[in-house]
Amino acid sequence: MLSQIAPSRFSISTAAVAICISFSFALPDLLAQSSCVSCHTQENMLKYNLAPKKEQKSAMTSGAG
Amino acid sequence: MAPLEPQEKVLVATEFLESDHGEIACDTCHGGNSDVSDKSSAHEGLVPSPSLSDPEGTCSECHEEIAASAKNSLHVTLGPFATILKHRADQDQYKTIDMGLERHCSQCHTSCGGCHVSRPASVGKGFVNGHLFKARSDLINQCTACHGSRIGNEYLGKRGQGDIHAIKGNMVCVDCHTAEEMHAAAPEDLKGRYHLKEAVKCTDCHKDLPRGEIRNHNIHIGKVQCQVCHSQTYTNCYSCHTGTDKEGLPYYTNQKDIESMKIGLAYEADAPDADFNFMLVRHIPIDPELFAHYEKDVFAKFDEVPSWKRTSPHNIQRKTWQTATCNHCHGNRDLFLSKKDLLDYEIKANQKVVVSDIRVPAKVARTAKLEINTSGVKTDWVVDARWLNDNMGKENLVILDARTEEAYQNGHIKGAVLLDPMKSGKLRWPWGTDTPQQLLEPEKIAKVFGEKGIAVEDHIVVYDDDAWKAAFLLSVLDFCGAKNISFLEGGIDTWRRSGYSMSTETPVIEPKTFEVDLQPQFIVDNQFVRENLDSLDVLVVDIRTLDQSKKLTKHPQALSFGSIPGSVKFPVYGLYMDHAQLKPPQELLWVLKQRGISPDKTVVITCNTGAWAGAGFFMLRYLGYLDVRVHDAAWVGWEEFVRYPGCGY
Repeated sequence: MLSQIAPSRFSISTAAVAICISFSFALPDLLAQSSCVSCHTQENMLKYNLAPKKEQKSAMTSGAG
Repeated sequence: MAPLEPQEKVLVATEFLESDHGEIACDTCHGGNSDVSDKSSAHEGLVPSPSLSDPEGTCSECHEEIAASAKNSLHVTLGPFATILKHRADQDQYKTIDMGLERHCSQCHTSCGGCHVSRPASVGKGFVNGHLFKARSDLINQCTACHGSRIGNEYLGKRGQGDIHAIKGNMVCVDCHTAEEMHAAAPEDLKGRYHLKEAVKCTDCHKDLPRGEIRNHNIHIGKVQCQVCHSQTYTNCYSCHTGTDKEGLPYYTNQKDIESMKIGLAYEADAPDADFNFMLVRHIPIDPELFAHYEKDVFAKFDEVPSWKRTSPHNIQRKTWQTATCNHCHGNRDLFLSKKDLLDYEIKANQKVVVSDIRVPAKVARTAKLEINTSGVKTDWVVDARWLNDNMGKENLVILDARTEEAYQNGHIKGAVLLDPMKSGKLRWPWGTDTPQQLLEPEKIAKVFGEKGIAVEDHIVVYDDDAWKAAFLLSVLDFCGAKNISFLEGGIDTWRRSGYSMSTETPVIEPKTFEVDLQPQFIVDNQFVRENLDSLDVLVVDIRTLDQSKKLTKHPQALSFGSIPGSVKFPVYGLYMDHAQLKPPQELLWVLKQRGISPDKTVVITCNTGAWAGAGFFMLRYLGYLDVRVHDAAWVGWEEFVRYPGCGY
């Protein structure tokens, strides 16, 4: 009975591989994401930190067709 | 289009984080340094538009096939621009042209992100939907943000009545211009956009025209481009010039633009759907001096390519003035491009487009007779520049300039008095009051008129630069009882071009008493509109541009998008042409009738705040409509009225 519910060596190693994959791909992505979005989802913070820029004049004055 | 606020431009929505693209780390596409928390270090090496600088390193990771094709699409390469300019120049001249092209013309090209996630540079950039990627580009924030001055304006009724695909079909750009066309790789030597084999054709949807029930389709298919019959007038641009300003920034400017229509001979039979002899042609803004700022005479072979080119205006209507009767085209020499339409430098270039007299289809002997009653047209309500010049200085003639003070100070018709009807608090209640932008009490308006030296019995001629402000002021004068009023056709632009006297001096005004003879029946309130929504005798005409009446945008002061239920959508620019030009009364009367706006009904005109409605009111009164009314509260007042009944509207 105990042998039936105890994790096998195979399942432990599968879990380990999954964790490794997470760390090498998804988790850093999520961390990078959260670092950027911690500012870019906060409207008031952005408003406070971003002064209106003087719009640079451009060759595009009237739009294309 | 107003630019977004700085924070709005870079604000990421939670929906994006939950989307497929939200699973990709920001720095995978945008670079920068996500390991640090201070702003300047985090943004070091940031790539704001990664699909522009490296489409293959970003989008093609997942969208490989599309990205590979789209990088050579017309939106990215603008290929035909260069191809055509190369035709006009010798090889050694092309270096200058290429540089000019890059500095001035190629600023418009876009990328994957420019169509699917952000606004283009021309309107100040920024995310459209909080960085959420959309497969279908946004008509307002993306497509017409670039293609605005012609296509967007035509489609949305900012020039002409708008396009039936928008009015009836609620269609947006990508309904016709599908991904297959937009992402198609264009061959390097593509002659023009009509040569792209994936380009949309009318017959992609309207498949059964040749075998259909409409006799005129059977007659004209294979001879005439669809747009010849189904377009309204459109803009022709002349003489583009490039240069750099004091700060060294490049710019371009067009010297002249005219709203008109010309039919030319089809000269590019090798384009995929060019199976016709006649097509609509538009004057493009090319000029031999286009790049003279950089080098003189760079177009050694200017004559190789026409400056009147095939066009497909985006202002399609099923019934147009051309379809009204055969002889609006047949035998109408003025509608066909002739040598007299050409400027000196472009005669040779357009030889193959010009329709010689013998090629103009002959008049048709038996054709439908139009029954348009013009007997009610108040012809003295419109005067032209010559009339005004001949009558200057006559007793009781008052000339009003309805433009802004700045425009007035830069030069006005000699002796004209400034009265900007849009100036807050002048004739209308200011924002923030209970009835914003609605007309003030007649006594207050009369006081303003008197101070400007106007008496009710004077002949008052009003002008501006784009018609509707002058027409709105005329509607207020009409409401207050002035009987002798006139609109100056062509406005300040025609006056100036005619060489008549301009001035920067402010005339001395002798105040008069304006005795109001109020015409209260001209204005209706919200209650009247609501009570008559289902009336067969009362027609509510929403005269706003289609972006507003079709709920794509809203007036800045409006709380919500929308329109009055059952209202007919007919933009004010269907009544007035560019530069305050007017179409003939019989054409306007016919067009209005086609749209169900007939003189036998009570026509109530509404807009956002009452000003465009006033302009529409003046035009219909000029055309002889007997019962026209202005819904002065307009959309801004209507939505308040519906939300809070009894609040004073």
